[in-house]
Amino acid sequence: MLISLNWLKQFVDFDLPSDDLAERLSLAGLEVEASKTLGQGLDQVFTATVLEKKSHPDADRLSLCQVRCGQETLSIVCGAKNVEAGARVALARVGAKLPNGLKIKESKIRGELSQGMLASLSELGLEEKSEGIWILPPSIEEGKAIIEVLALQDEILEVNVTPNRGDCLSIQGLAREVAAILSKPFSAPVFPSYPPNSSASLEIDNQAPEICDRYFCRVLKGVKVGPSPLEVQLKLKACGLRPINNVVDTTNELMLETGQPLHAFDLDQLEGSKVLIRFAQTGEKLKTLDGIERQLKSQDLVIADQTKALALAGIMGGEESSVTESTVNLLLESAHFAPIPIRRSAKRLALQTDSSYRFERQVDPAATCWVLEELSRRLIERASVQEVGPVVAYGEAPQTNLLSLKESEIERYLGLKISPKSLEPKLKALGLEFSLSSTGEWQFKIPSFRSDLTRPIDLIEEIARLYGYDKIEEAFIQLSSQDLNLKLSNLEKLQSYLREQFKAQAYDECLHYSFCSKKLLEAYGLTADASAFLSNPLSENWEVMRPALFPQLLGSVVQNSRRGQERLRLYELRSVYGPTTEENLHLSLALSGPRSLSHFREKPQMTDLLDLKGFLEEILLGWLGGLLSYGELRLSFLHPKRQSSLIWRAHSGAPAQTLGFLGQLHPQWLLEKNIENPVSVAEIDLAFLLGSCKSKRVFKPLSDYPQVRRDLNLVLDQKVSQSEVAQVLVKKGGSLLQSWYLKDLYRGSPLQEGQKALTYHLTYGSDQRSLTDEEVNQARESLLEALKSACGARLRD
Amino acid sequence: MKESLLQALDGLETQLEEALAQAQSESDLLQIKGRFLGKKGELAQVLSAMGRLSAEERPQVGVKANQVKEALCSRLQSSLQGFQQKVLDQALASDHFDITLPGVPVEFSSMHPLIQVLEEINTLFRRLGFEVRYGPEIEDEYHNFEALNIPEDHPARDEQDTFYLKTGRLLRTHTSTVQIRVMETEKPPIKMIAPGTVYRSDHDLTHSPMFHQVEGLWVDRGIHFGHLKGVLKLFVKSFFGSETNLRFRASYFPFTEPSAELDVSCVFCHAKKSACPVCKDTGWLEVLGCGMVDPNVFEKVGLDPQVYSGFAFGMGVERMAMLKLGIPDLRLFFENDLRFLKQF
Repeated sequence: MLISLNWLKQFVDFDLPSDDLAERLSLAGLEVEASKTLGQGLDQVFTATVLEKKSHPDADRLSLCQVRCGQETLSIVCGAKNVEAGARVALARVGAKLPNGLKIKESKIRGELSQGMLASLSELGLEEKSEGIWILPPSIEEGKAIIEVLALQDEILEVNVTPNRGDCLSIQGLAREVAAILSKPFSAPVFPSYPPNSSASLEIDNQAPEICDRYFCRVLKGVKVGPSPLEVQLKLKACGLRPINNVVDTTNELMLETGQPLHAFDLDQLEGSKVLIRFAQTGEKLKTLDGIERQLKSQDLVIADQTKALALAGIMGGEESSVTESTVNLLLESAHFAPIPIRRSAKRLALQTDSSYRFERQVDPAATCWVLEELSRRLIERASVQEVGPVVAYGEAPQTNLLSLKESEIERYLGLKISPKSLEPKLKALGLEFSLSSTGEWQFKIPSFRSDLTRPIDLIEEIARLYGYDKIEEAFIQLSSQDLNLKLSNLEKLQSYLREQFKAQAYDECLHYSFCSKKLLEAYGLTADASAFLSNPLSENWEVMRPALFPQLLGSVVQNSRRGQERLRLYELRSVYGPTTEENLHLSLALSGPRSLSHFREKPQMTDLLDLKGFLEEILLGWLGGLLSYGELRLSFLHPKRQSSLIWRAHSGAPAQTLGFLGQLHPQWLLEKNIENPVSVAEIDLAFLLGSCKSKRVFKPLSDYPQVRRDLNLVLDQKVSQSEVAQVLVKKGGSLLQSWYLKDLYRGSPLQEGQKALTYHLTYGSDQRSLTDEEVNQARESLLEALKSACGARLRD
Repeated sequence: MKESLLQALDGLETQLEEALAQAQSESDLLQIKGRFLGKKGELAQVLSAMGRLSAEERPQVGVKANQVKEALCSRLQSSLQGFQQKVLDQALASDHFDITLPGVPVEFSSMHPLIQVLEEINTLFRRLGFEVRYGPEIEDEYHNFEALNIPEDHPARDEQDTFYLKTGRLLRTHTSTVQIRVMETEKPPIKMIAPGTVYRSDHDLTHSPMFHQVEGLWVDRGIHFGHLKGVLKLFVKSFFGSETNLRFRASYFPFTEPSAELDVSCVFCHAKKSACPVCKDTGWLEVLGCGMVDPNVFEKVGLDPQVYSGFAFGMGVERMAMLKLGIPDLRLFFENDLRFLKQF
């Protein structure tokens, strides 16, 4: 909400600089988000009169004006269409530097001398956007500094009023806050009732008393609609409203001033003798003031006459009954509506107005009556009203609520021993009267405009912010054994374990949005139908909760590769989502490009699926222990021969657990994405890992005895997989075989077609003794026998 | 016989010297070693002849032979060392290693900057005895709104544009949901933080539809606003630096009362208030929202507000990371550009 400090000062007396006021307001919960100074740079702007207007000889759109400013007459070239001889205007003289930064100099425009500029309101910083120059009313004296004649100097603060403080959506409400902050007295202005001089009136038929608990209206006749006084117009502009005419402007002015939304109808557009407050009929239409025809529903409340809806109650008036230049008779409305129905209708119609905004946040139910009186009084002053009807009223004045508060409760919440008495001037400025009851509690009378104060805690908050949060002392509690739960959860441990491993292997962590497009999922063969769709996505790209991480991770591979990054090691460790409420932590990793960074001595080697596999096995077994094996898989986006599911067992023979998959992208994919190097990818469901962490690591003594190393060079049929050989090594290697690895794989001459040679490096050893050659040879011999019978292996010559 | 053997032994050292004088390389040296000390070498021949000596003569020649053998060995050894030294000297002399050549590059990586900052926040609160708790991202209206004292039709819902799933559930708009889930099942003392991913249907320069929050909650008997100030002061000074000033500004959240926004002195201009694009010359940066748990929230989760009190706070991790690392644009966090990720 925009507030003018000049206007504010009509209600509370202060001389604090605006920056200081802004800070005090912010600290007290009324955050000032921006501020601006009006009237700056206007010292060389004067009121002047256009004496003569001729067209520019050399430019159709420009005119040459003779402008009188006091004793002087100046030649001005003007581009505005609305300049006319005789008009009172704002003249920016040579030397002026306007708020928008424009410097006025004497110049020749298309050969004609221009000794200043006729300014528009926006050029003077008095409104956002203007059409044409500012034409002032003739009543404004000529030849005067504009800043003085119009009292333009003002500060405007933009205050962010929180949803609980509907009472601060007005100058008066903020004036109360300012008074409280500065410990100054505040007394609300008293608006006397204005006696009628006519019996012209309508009857109120309230069919929705649960929503509209107070409705006040009044007929004014013989009204002269015209522009508002200039100072009213400027006040509205400064607060962000567009002046329309004296009637509408006055309702708006009072709304800003008091927070009570008001409406004026053109009485002659009403049929019958009743004003109805009723629900709309389904399918009923109403063209609102903004020119849009609205389709109403039966929950929408309207103000109507006998035959038709006139206004959306509490939101916006109708176009047909709106006040125009030709209006002569008025029906004024001041009403109180319940927040929720107004909010629902405004939301459904996407029509938030100054009025609905206020009703949603609670309007003072006591104001309904006296604001209408003040509206009448101001219109009589400004629109030469002839007949004033009586106020017709529906509804009772609200009752005063009482709230009691114990000092001990204040201390319990704030850690502060304080009596409300010590803040009396501030609390009183807010309209909070209080006294000590016989039971030793403080009894507060809650004014009708503070609908947010319903519980003792609400008063404690008022006391805290008036006392000042900064003055409440910090307190510290020693840890006691009962709050010590310093254990790390499995989730925390697993995440940090994985991130450590990825860091060690120089993998970079990615973060993608949790939603993606259906198209992306389908490109990777994921059936999007089984996924959770958003009902209100921001775009098609973000319409479905991802059931897997790898599609977006591959997207980042492609993006980074396009940016010229060749060495890509990416991972993501995030949740994926099932169709309803399932959420699972997943891990995806992708690998492409050279194994090491370029160096002049090294020939770059490209990574492939085995690089990814080796790392993945290490991290999984490092956490789980047990054994991994590889199962059949047919994913169309992966290389048909280089993909596999990943299966874990606690030990051979234990039940199998599928953890995820790994594979190299299909060559076709690489072609489409224009990537040269192989790309490998894997995705693991971590749900299983979360539940099963390898049992505690226990120290094993270090052997003092030497190890014996042997090579085992086997020739095998091409079809025998490495894992078949490895299984025999595990099972039949004997107790002395401590470790082994595949040292070489060879195909080709002198081997026969369909054969391959595998060389294993075996390490034998014992914790108890040195091994003899004989027993090592024996162990190797019996292993070889087992390999012969199990895999058809023979020793290579 | 004895004399001739002794003579032959005497001659061996001279012969060795002569042979060594001719030697050019280490392999020549090996040959020479074989000639003198090999199985059929000069010394061996002498020794084999010893069998024919008498029992008294044999030790005399034997002693001499051992002396000569030792002398030959050590001479050969020193000569070998000489050659090795020479080869080494040559090799060293011809080594043209250039220390200014580039070393073999090693690459490091790091966690995502957002995760780094999140971890730092977690660590600081762990030190203060807060337990890290998690909760679901796909939530229901009750945990995201109603239990937090944000009934349907409350204007506060406008500030949290919510993504809904077709199933009717929603994506949580804050991790405050986790405090509800914990309080529903556990009795105080509760001292927890809830880091996590949250969603709001808002996307522009300063809003991302997905972002991260850390929510904190401490509930027990006798917890008051002073404790809230104490904990957050420790946190802020540890996170941004001990020179950082902070101020608590009154505010409004439906689930806390009294509520506050916490501002810290601008970490960029150090509150100099001149042409600072970050704090816009206010000298202050808003970093988190906090307050005393509203009694209505306690009632929703079945805790007696007359017995317990507590405070809650919530902060945006992206904002903390942007301030801490000087990152100007929120979108960078989710673009996964390696040029960005590698910087941290």
